[in-house]
Amino acid sequence: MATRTLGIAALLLLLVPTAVAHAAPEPARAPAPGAPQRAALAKPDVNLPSGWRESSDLLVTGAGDQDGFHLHVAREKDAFAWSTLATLNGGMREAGTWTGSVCLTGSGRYAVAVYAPAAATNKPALMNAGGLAAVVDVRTGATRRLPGRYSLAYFNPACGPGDRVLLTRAIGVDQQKTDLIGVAAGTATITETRRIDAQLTTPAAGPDGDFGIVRGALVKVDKGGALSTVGRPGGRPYAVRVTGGGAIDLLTVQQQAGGERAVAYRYADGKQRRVGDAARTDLELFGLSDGRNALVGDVSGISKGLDDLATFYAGRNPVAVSRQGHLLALSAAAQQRQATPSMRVTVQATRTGAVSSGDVTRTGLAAADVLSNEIEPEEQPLPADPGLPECAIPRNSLRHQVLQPSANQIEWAVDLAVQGRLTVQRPANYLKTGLPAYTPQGLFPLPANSPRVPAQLFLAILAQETNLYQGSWHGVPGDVVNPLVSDYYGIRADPDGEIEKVAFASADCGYGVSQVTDGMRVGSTKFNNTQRVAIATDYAANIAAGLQILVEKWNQLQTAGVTVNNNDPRYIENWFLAVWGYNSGIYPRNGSNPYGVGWFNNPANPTYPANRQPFLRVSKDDAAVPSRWPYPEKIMGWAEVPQWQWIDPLVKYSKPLFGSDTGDKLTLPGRYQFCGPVNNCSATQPANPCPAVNSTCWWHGYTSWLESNSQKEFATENLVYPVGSAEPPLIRTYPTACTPFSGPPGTLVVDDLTSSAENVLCSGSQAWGGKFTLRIGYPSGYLWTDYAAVDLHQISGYFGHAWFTHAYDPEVTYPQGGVAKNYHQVVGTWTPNITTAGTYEIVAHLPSHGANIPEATYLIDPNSGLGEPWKCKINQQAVTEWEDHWVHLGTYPLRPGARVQLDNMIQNATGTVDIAYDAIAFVPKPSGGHNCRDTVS
Amino acid sequence: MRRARSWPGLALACLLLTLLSGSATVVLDQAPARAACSGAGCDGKWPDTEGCASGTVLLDSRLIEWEEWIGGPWEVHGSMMLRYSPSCRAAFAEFNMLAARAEWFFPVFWSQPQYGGRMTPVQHAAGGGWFRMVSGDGVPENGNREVFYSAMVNWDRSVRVCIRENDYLDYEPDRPPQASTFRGDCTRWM
Repeated sequence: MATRTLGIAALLLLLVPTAVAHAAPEPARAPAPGAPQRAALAKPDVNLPSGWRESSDLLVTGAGDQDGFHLHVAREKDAFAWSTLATLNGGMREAGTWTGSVCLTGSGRYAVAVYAPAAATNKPALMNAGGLAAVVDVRTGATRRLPGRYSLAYFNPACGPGDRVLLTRAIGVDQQKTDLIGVAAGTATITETRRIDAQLTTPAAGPDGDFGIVRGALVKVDKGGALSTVGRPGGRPYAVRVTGGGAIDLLTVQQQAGGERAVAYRYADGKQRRVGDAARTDLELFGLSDGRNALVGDVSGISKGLDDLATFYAGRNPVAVSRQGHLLALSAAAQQRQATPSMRVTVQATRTGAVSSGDVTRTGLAAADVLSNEIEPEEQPLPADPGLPECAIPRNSLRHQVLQPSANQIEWAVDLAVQGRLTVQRPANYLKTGLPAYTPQGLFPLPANSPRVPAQLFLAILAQETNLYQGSWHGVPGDVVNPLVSDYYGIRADPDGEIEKVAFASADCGYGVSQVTDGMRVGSTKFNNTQRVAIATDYAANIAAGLQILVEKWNQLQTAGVTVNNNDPRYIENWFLAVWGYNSGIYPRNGSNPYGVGWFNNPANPTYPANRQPFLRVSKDDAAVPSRWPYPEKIMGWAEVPQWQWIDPLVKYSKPLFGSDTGDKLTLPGRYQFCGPVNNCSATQPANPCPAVNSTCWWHGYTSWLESNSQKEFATENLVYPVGSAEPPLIRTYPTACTPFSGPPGTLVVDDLTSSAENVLCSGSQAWGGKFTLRIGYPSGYLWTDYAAVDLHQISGYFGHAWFTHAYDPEVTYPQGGVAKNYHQVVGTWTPNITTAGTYEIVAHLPSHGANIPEATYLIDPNSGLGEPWKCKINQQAVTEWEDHWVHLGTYPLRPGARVQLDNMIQNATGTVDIAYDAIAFVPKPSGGHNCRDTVS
Repeated sequence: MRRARSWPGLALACLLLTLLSGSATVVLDQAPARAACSGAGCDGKWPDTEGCASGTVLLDSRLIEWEEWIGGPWEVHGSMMLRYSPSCRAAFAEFNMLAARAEWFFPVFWSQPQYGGRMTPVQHAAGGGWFRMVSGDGVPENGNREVFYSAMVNWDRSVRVCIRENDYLDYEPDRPPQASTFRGDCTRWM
C-alpha cells in the first residue's frame, strides 16, 4: 500500500507500529512528480571545506518504513546530496515498519546493517536474537546477507577501524551469555563465533584484538573467547571504539559531584587517561576515516590534542558522522506522510555549524537481501514444506475480515473497558464472521478483583504494540483487511542461512491491537472459537481480552508482594512493573528461589544506552529506534506523548492528567531503581548481575521513586468517553464503493466476492455474474503457494472488497548464478457466466488504493480456441488517482468459457508497487462499444 | 517404440486399479429424475448421476497423442476435456480414449481453493475413485472408445485436468501445456 493525497487536505500514511512519531501535523507537501529530492547542502562553497568537489568524504545512514530498512548515502562531492543505496527487508512483506542501525567500516567501503521489523522490539526473544544482518558495498549497492540472527541493540553492528565488524547475539532470557561474531566485511563472511559466559555489550574490533564491556569492565576477548580485563572506568560504559593505532576510546556515565556525567576515557600504552566530560546525555563516540575516532556533542569539556580523536560540537547527538567529519547527520527518519516515499534529514556542516533539513526521495529498490538456494538454471527449486498454518485465525479468509478502526474508536473502547463497561452489543454474524451475538466484556470480563487500569496506560501499550491497528498494516481506517497477526508465517532463516523459510510451526500468532498471543494457536483450548474470532476481527473484543492480560500481571505482582510507590493502581507510574511483566513475564514466588521481574527490561541493563533520554520526551524520532529503551520506559513515553494516527483529520488519544508538580511529565524511575542486594545490582558496582547460569538478577521487593507519594507527583487517566457512550463513528480514510454497477439486461458483474453476503461494508447485493479466482505462487497450488501468499492482502474495493499484491519481475536471477521463475506470482481470473456467444464491452473496477501499477496488462481470452488473447494495458495509478474508478478494457466477441486475467509478473517490477484485483463487468454490446483505456464517464 | 519404458509393472497395476476402479459396472448416461446439486453441494459426486452432464460448457480440451516409436508418427489416441455445468455450478473432466490405450495414461482432475492454496485431486466422495466409465465396454481388445467422467467440484474453485504418462512425482502440473514434452499435458486452469 502506498500513500495518497486527499483532495482537500493532508497526505496520509499507513503508519505502523512504533514507527515514527510526529510532533505535530504538517500541511501536505507532495513533491512534484518526477522530481526526486536529494536535500543537497545549500551553499556548499561556504559550508564545506574547499576542494569539496573532489572529496571522497561520505556518510551512510538508515531509515525504516513499511517497505523495509533503507540505506541512504550522501557524498561530499555531490554537496552531500542523498541517494538510496539499498532496501533491506529479507523478503518479508507483512511485517509492518522496519527499524535498524547501520555502520560504515573503517575503509569506508562497506556499510553493515542490523535490522528487523519494529514489532520485533516488542518480543524479548527477537530483541535478543531477531535481527537480520547484511553487508552492502557502498560503491555499488551490492548486498550480501549474513546468515543467522543478531541482537537488536544500539551497539549492533560495531564497525572497527578496518573492515572487521563485530556483531552480538544475546543468549538466554536474562542475557546471561553472548555470542560475539566476527565478520569480514570484504567477503561478507563470518570469521568466528565465540560464546562468552557473560553479558557483553558495546563490542569494538581493533588492530590488536576485540574488546567489549563485561560487568562494567573494559575487557579484551581472545580468540577462544576468554576475557582479560583492560580497565575499570567505573560507572556504566555505553560506547567503546578502537583507533587504527590500537588506542581505545570509551564513554561511561558516572556519578560526579553534581550528578551523573558522561565521561570520556582513553586507554593506550597500558594507561587510562581521562579525556573530559559533558552532561550525561550530551556526548557520543563515532569512527572516522584513517582509523580515527570522533567525540561529538557538547565537547567544551573535552581536552584537545589527540591526533586520532577529533571533536565536533553538535547541539544534539547525531545519528551518523561523515568519514572525514565534514557533515553530521543529526536525524534521519522515514516520512510516512508523503505521497512519494521519502526520508527527512537534518544535517549540520561542521565547518560552519549550519544546520539544515530536507526531504530525500527514496528510490523504490527491490529488496537487496533476499536469499535464495543455489539452483541450476531453468529449474524451479522447491522450498521446504512449511506445514500447515498454526495460528488459529487465517489470513486471506473472507470469514475473517477486519474492519480497521480509527483512533477515536480505540480510545472509546479503552475508556469503557477500564471501567468494565465495554458491553456494546455485537449482533450475530457481526462482520460476517458467522459468530453468535456477543459483547466484548461479556466474552472477556474484568476479574472481580481487578484494579482500575488508567486508560492512558493501556492506550500507550496499544500504541507501542500496534500503533492502534487491529487489522493488517496494509489497511487504513475504514478498510476491510486481514487480521493483524505477528509472524503468521513463522518466516525464519533456514539453518544453512540460504533462504527465508516459511515455517508455520515457528509462528508467533499475536493477534490484533493488543497482540493477544496465548490461546491463539490451532489446538489451544484457552479460548473458544467465538472468543478467538472476536479477538482477531473486533478491536473492542481484542481490547477487552488484552486488558484481562494486563490486569493479570498486576495481580500476579500483588500476590508476590512486589510493589512500587504507594501501590495505587489509579496512578500510571505505579504500573511500571506490571507493564514490564506484560512484555517479559513475571516469575512467581516459589520457596526461596528468585522471583519477580527479569533482567531483560531492567532499566539498569547495559543493553540500553546509559546516556538515553526518556523515550519520546526530547525527540519524536525515538520511535524509529525502539530497541534503545526497555519496554516499560517505552510505555511511559507513549502515555506521556500520545501517538498520532495518521488519518485525516488527525486524531490522537488524550494526554493523561499530569501531577501538578511534574511539568506535564510522568515521573520516571531512575536507571538503578530496581537494583539492590536482591538482584546483585547497584549503581556503584555496575555489572550484569546475572551470573551465567542462574536467575539471581531477578528483582522483587518494594521501591519508590516519588518523594511524597502525593498526587502532585502522579499522572492519572483522562477519560474522554463516559460510561454508556455509544461507539463513535469510524473516521474513514476513503469512501466505500457501494454503488452497484449499472448496465443493460444481460450485464454480468464478476466481483472478487462470490456473494454479497461476504462483504462487510455495503448493504444491498450484487448478483453473481461469474466466477473469480486467484492462483498464487509459481507453480500455483504447490509449496511455493504459501510463500507467495505472504504478499497477498485483502483491502476495500467494489462492494466492500478487493485483493492486492505487489508486482514482481517474472524471473529471479540468483547471485550464485541461475534463473528461475519468480514464485511471487498471483493470477486473477474473471470468468463471466456467458452461456451463448456474443459481443461484450468489458469494464474493470479499480479500488481507490492498492491499485498503483502503471503496467497492468489484462488478458482477454474469448475461448475461441484460436491464437493469443487480446491485451489491454492499464495504468492503475493514472485511472484511480486515489478514487474508485471503472475503466474500459475494450469490446470483444466472447464465447462461453471466455475470461479475463491479470498477472502481477511484470518486467523489471521490484516488488514495491501495488496491483489490485477487483470487479469486472461484462456488458452486452451488439454494436459500438468502447476501446481499451477509455475512461468511464 | 513406446516411451514410457521406465514404468515398473507393479506401479502400472496400481494405476490401472485407480484409473478403472469406477468402471467395474458399465453405466450409461442416464439422466436421473431428481434435483441437481449445486456448487459445493456437487463436490465429489458423479456428474451423470446428478444430472449435471448435459448442457455443459466446454472450457478447454487437449488431444492425447502418442509417438508409437521414436521418430514414428504421432497418433491421436483420445482427448481430455474440462467441462462446466451452469445449472449445477460445478466443473468436471471428461476423458475419451481408445480403450486399448487408456491403461497407459493417468488422468487427474485438480482443483485449488478459490483464492489460492494447495491443489488437491478431485475424487468421488463415496470412494468411487477418480474417474468413472460412462461409455464403453471395458474390454480393451474390442478396440472401442471409452468415455470417463471425473467427480465434480464447486465451480468457484480453480480447476484443470491433466494427464500424465506415469506417476512421476515431480511432475509440475501448473507448467504451461507443452504437447511436445511427453511427460504429460494439462488443460489450462479455469
